[in-house]
Order: sequence, then C-alpha cells, then structure tokens
Amino acid sequence: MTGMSFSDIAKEFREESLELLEAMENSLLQIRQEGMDDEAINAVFRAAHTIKGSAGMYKLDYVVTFTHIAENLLDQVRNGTVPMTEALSELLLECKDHMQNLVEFAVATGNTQPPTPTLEEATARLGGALKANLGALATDHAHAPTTAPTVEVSIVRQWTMRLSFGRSVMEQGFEPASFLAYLRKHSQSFKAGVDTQYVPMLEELRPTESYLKFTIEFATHLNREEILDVFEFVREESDIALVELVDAPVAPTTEVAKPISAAQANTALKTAPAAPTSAPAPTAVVAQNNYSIRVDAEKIDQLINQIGEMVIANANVVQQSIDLQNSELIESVSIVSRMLEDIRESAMQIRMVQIGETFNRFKRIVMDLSKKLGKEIELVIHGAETELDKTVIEKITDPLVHIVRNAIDHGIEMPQNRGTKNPKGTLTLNAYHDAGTVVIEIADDGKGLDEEVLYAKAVEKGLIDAGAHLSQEEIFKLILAPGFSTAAAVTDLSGRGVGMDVVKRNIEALRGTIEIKSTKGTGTTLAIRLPLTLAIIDGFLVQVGETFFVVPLDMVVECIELSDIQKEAMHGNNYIDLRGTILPLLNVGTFFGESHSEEARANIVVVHYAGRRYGFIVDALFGEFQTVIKPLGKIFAQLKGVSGATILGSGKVALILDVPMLVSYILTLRNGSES
Amino acid sequence: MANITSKNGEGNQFLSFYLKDEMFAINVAYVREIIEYTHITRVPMMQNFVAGVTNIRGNVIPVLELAGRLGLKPSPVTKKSCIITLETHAEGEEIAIGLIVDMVDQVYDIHESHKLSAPEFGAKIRKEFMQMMTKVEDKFMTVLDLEGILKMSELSKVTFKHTL
Amino acid sequence: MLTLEESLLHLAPSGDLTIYEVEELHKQLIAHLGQAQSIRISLDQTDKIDSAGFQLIVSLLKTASAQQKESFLGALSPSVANFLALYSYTWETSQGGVQ
Repeated sequence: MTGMSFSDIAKEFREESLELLEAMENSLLQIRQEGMDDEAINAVFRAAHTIKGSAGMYKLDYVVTFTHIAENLLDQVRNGTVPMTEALSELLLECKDHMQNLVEFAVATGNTQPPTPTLEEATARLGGALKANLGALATDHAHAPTTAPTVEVSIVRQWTMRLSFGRSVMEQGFEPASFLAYLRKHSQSFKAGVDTQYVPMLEELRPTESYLKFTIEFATHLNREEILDVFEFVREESDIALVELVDAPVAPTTEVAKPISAAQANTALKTAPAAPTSAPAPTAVVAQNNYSIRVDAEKIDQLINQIGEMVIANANVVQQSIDLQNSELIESVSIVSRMLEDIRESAMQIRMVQIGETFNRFKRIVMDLSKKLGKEIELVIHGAETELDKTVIEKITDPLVHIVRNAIDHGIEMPQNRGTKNPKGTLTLNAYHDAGTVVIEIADDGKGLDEEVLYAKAVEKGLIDAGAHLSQEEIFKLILAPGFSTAAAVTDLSGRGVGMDVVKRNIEALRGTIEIKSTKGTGTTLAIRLPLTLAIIDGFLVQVGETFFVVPLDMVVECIELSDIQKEAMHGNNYIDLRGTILPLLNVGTFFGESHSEEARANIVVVHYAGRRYGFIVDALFGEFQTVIKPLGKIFAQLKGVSGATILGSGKVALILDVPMLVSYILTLRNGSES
Repeated sequence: MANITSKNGEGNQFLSFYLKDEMFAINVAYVREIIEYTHITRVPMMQNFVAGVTNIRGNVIPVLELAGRLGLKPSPVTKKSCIITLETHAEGEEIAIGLIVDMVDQVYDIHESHKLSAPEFGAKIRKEFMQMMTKVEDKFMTVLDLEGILKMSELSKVTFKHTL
Repeated sequence: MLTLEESLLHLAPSGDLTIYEVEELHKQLIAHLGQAQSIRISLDQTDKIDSAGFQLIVSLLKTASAQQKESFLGALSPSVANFLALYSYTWETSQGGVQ
C-alpha cells in the first residue's frame, strides 16, 4: 500500500464510490416506496461500510468520520434497534448526497486540503442529525473513530491472474519468483500454480530463457493498478490477464492498529459474510453483480474491434471462395462465417446493459424536483430490462435527465390545475426494442403542447415566417430548434424548451431521432429512437462517383433501377412514382458534389425512415455487407451527410451515409419548392 | 544550446522530404510511420488539399495533400510517393493524420546554430506554416510548423454547404 | 555437482542453482545424459534455486521420462522447498513425487 498516492487511484476511488452511492440511493428509494426491506437496508449498510473502508485506506479522514456515523446508525436500523421512518430515509438520502460531495471534494483536491467550511458545516449538521437518531447503545463506539481513526479498514478482493513472462525476462535480470513472492507478501491468501508444459526437452532448452506460465489466485487489498504496478518493469513483454472475482466473498478485513472495541469487531464479522449470502433481489431489473466480473470497458472495445476486423477479413474470404467456385470451400467458409456471426453477437452482448439502472436514477430526480415544485408525480417505469449498448446508455443519460426535468417542470401541472385529471401526475419511462432500434419514451399526462403558442413563439423568434404552413409534427419539432427558447422565457411558456436543441444534437450524434406526440390537455410523449449499438451495423454498399458509401441495412427497403421512362417522367422533379406512391429522391452524387458519369446506370436505394420512404440515387449497388463503424476524424466534423467510415474487404475505406441527415435535406428541398 | 524546437515538440531530429525538388522537414517527434502511397478514399465536400481517408492497419486516417495545403502545386503520384503519418495534439485532442509527400529523404540533427532567418519575402508558403529555414548539404530546407499546418478550423472547412 | 557412476547420473548441486549456473550445467547434462539409465537429483545441499534452475530440473525430468529413464528425487534444502511452495509445485518423477 505504501508508495501509492491518493491521486494515483483517485479516479478509481471516485468511480467505485459513486457506484456504491448510487446503489445506496436506489435501495433507500426502494425502502421509501415499498417499505422496509432487509435486503435493501443491508445494501445501504454495505455501501456505507465499503466507502468508509476505501476512504480509510487513502486516509480521507473526513469521509471516514462522517461515513462512520452513518454506518453506525444504519447498523442499528438493520438490527431493528432503530425504526426506519420516512424522515430517516430522507435524512439518509441527504447524507448520501453529502458523502458524494465529500468524495468529489477529496478527488478534486487530491486529498491535499481540509474540507471547506461549507462541507464541515454539513458534516456537523448531518452528523448531529444522525447521532440524534442513534439508539443509546451505539454512541460509545461512534465516538472512538470520530476523534481519531484507529482502525484501518481495507477491502480485500479476490483476483485471478494468468501470467506469462516474456522469454527474456530472466536474462534481463528479473526473477519470476520474486514477483510472486512480493505479491504473496501483500496478499491475504495466495495460491500460484506453475505451468511447466512449455519447458522443452534438454536438447531444445535455452536455459536462461523463461518458459514458465502461472495461474495465481489471490486475495489482496491492492487494487488493480497496484497489482499491475508490481509487474511494471516486465509488463511490456509479458502477458498478464487479471480478473477480479466479484462473486467471491468480498470480505472487508480489519487490520488492527490498536485494540478495537468488541462492537467494532462484531461489525466486521457480521459484514464479512453479508455479501455472499445475500440472495439476489427478486426484482429482476436492478441487476445484482452476482456471477459477474468487472472488465475494463476498453478491453471489450478492443475485442469488438478485433472481431470487427475479422468480420471484414472474412468478407474477403467469402468473396474469394465464391470466385473460386469450390463448393466444399464455400461450405466451410460459410460455417466459419456463421460462427463468426455468433461470436460477434456474443461479444456485442457483453456491452449490452439493461436500461433499468439509468431509469432508477430518475426516481430521485422526480422525487426531488416534484417536491421542490410542490407537484405530486408518480414515476412509472416500463421495459427496464430492455438492453442497449453501454456507450449508448452513457451518452443518452444526460439528454434523458433534461427531458424528464422539462416534463416535470413544464409538462405536468400543479395539482390544483389538473382539472378532472388525477391531481397526482404520472410520468412514464418506457423502453422497448423495435426493428433493430431501441425506443425510449418519456410520457407525461400534463397539459400537452399548445400548437398556437408554439407557432406564435417561433414567429416571434424569427424561426419561421408568419403565415408559413407547418404540419402539427413540424410545429412540435420547433421545441427542438436552437434559439426557440431561453431559460428566462420558458417559465412563461406553456411548453418545454430549455436546451432541447442540445438534446436533439446529442441524440442525433448517436444516430438517433426524436418523435414528439402531444395532445393539448392530455399530455406529451417524446420517443427517442436509437440504434442498438454504435460499433457494428449491417450495411448496404453502393458507389457514387469514385467513392463507396454504406447505407445502414435496416433502413433499406429495396433497390430499383431507374428506367429511362421514369427518368423522362421525372422532368427534373426530385421524385418518381413508385407503384402509385410518390417517392421523394435525392441524388447522392449531386448532394456531395461528386462528379458522376451520366452513362452510369442510375440506381435507387429506397430507404424507410420515420415512417416514410425516400429514394437515394446512386451509381452502383454492391449489396449487403457487415460494417464496423470507424469514427471520421475531427477534420470532418463539419461534413454533413456522412456519419462515419468503414473498411471494406479490399482494405479501401467506405463512408457511411447519414440517412436522417439526408432525409431532412430532402424535406428542406421539398418545403422550399412548395412554398 | 537552446532547444529551438520546443514549440513543435521535443528533440532536434527532423525528417526531411521532398515536394517536387524542394526540401522540407518536420520534427520526428510527431512522425508515427512512413508508409507507401496507398489507396485514398476521397471524402466529398472537403477542400482540395484534403485527399481523403485511408486505412492504416484498421484505422481510418485522414490524409492531406501536403503540397496543396502549403499552396504549392501537387505533383502526380509516383513510386516514391509516401504518406507520412503523424500523431499530434491539435486543440486539446489527439489526432492521427497522414501527409502525402513526393519522396522521403532522411533524418537530420538540426540545432539553433543551423537556423537561417526566414526570407522576408519571396517565400512560397505562408509564414505560419514555417518554423524556420536551414541549410543541409548546401541545400535550403524549410522546417514546417505543424501547428499552423494542422489548424483544425482551416482543415475542417467544407466547400459545399447545404442548408440543413 | 554432477557425477556419473555406472549408469546412475547423480545431480547434487551444492551452492546455488541459478541462472548463473544453468548454462554450464545444461551442457554437462546433455553431454552425460545419454550414458545414464537413471537419474538422481539431490537438492538438499542447494543454497539457492531460481526459476532458471527450476526449469532446468523440469526439463531434465521431462527428458528422462521421454527417454524412459528412471528418476529419483532426494531431499530438498529449505530454500528449495520454499521456492517450490511458492510455485505450488510437486516434482513429477518416475518414482512419483518427492522421496
């Protein structure tokens, strides 16, 4: 532990603490809603206990002191000595926020400064409130650590390491056994297995080279970084896989600096088995970490990238096997392709996370905000088990918070203004899968959007001309327009508005879209449609001019060849008659200013988007193709109509068409020609 | 000796190369690798000197026609044409970018004492693209200022804007 | 350190058996193994062993086993025993473990 400064682990400490605090909050909210529950209060206690433990490890005394008081009280609550009340749960929620502030402060300052007076004041106030709730028995052991922490609590975690030293480590003067010995010295339990199967026969043996591989199971208070630091000098040429066993007993051990009181020892003993013995909560939504391992997200990304490369390379193999017309080869290749597809699916699954955890955060937001505004709001959650890519979830959370706040602030009325409706408003969060996308709906039963007010506001803001004809949908979309509303104006306006353009931008950056449905007096529903994942899409490869483009396959309906008769019939209009319906067209080449030969066959890729069909005119079609999305550099940030790039089997780069962007361009063209 | 290269990275080793028959150099600290000229996918709507993007070991890297960027006339691609890939920070972000040059020469050590004052006039390229002038083996060589050349606000301009 | 008596090759390193010794010992082992029918390894006089020494013994035992020679392992010095405990390793000799 020595030699590790707080700043080295601050990020990890923060992440871990925030996760625990979130769990704490969820459990407290659960208790508020569903009543006292052993499982939930245990979870709250464990969170506080663990935070105190890690804070103690890094000498964050003010975090330890405060958390310790909370922990004592929580211990009494779960023992039944102190009853859980609504007031107490509120106090505990407040304490949770304060712990978070303390943690953030410690991380921000690198634990180099004492807490600010404001923080001190809050510690004193909340600490006092907590102590006031304590039963008589506990006051004793609440005191000792408050004055001077005498106990160092560390969290011991179980790890498995697979270790294969580089061939030349011994020649470089490193002795594998020394690393193991060092690790053993810093572990509570340690068992190494040496794999000698790679040691060759004497004739082939190079006696100073290293052939040994190890599997080590150990429990230590060192964190990942500290463990890996042990191997710092040999890490480059060695192969080290380190996996934390989360489902193994995570037993906080108490290293005794001075004799500790019986009560404390008791606490430690009781906590130790709590983690493993607790059965997973029956609520399917909040995924407990049972049977899960914590893996660096970067490693998963790397795996997915590599699989992506394989998919690309395989596409090449498939093509060549077809060219060779060797049926046995084609059969074998297709088996590999199927397996690869399965692997890809599985890998993508690793990244998939239930949205429930994100939804749960809104319980607190809804509670706090409705209380502040004097509104009564019930939060209803559907589809919490819906899974989507972790990256997507991370990026969608802020926009969701924004939308939910707006719904509470401006959507749902004060109880006395709700007329015949239930005075208690309802906010519904719903998530479901639909045709390769995820839809997240935020619905309120508030006053709805007022078309007239919106229209007038947009005219006033100069966003539309007075008298312009807009459909209802277009009018609703005005709330997403930049400059539609400012913070000051919003409170006067019956609607939403603050920063909704930012929300729209964030969602579009995820290749997502927003739909708005609203009925005046009844409520508003925002539906956010997002791709399941950001990493791989199935694409349809086309060529325009010299450039290859990929159209996301889930948007492609069909491909048609533009006949001469249809060309004639177009008369320069940007649409054709497709089996009796009008199909608006966009010439992709013209859009991009690409030179394309008039002789090239004009093909149309028909896409469906937001319930309508559009045609893209391209030069050549190449068919389906699985695509790993690669970001285009910052240089191309201002480029419209392209959302990324991908590498073809030939090694050439193709550009991914941004269909929503192109469709909105088609619509502007049409609106322009109509008005 | 003062290190005159601090503005454009550490060290005083410079990779020299040719655009037509003129010699230029950049600090090797930025150079990730030099690869043979390879297929470049044009990206529409970009300025002419943005040659496009290419695939370098599974990464999509933007490539600039360096001559075009400097305001010189690009030469046709030959067997000696190369792409120098750079890794650098531009406006707080790490970027990888490729530069097309006509021929890569070698690495020179250049110190303060080798610096020549840049000509007051008559230089073909913009002042902000030049870090200094020097002379190696009796030839003039322009050391390029990558900060100026890779200025994102200039590179990212699109030439054909649609009202969206 | 290495003796060949009749057809018994006896390896009994006294002092260290480490990366500094293994190259020389390796050469000797290759040179003499052919004439041996059985191998005895005594590590009770060994002051220090490291991974290189360990590997050499593993390799020797593997080779002996492949050539269907008998191998015996004698007592261990505390230092060697500690080393093996760290690796949780038990010798695989034709005579089955440590004698």
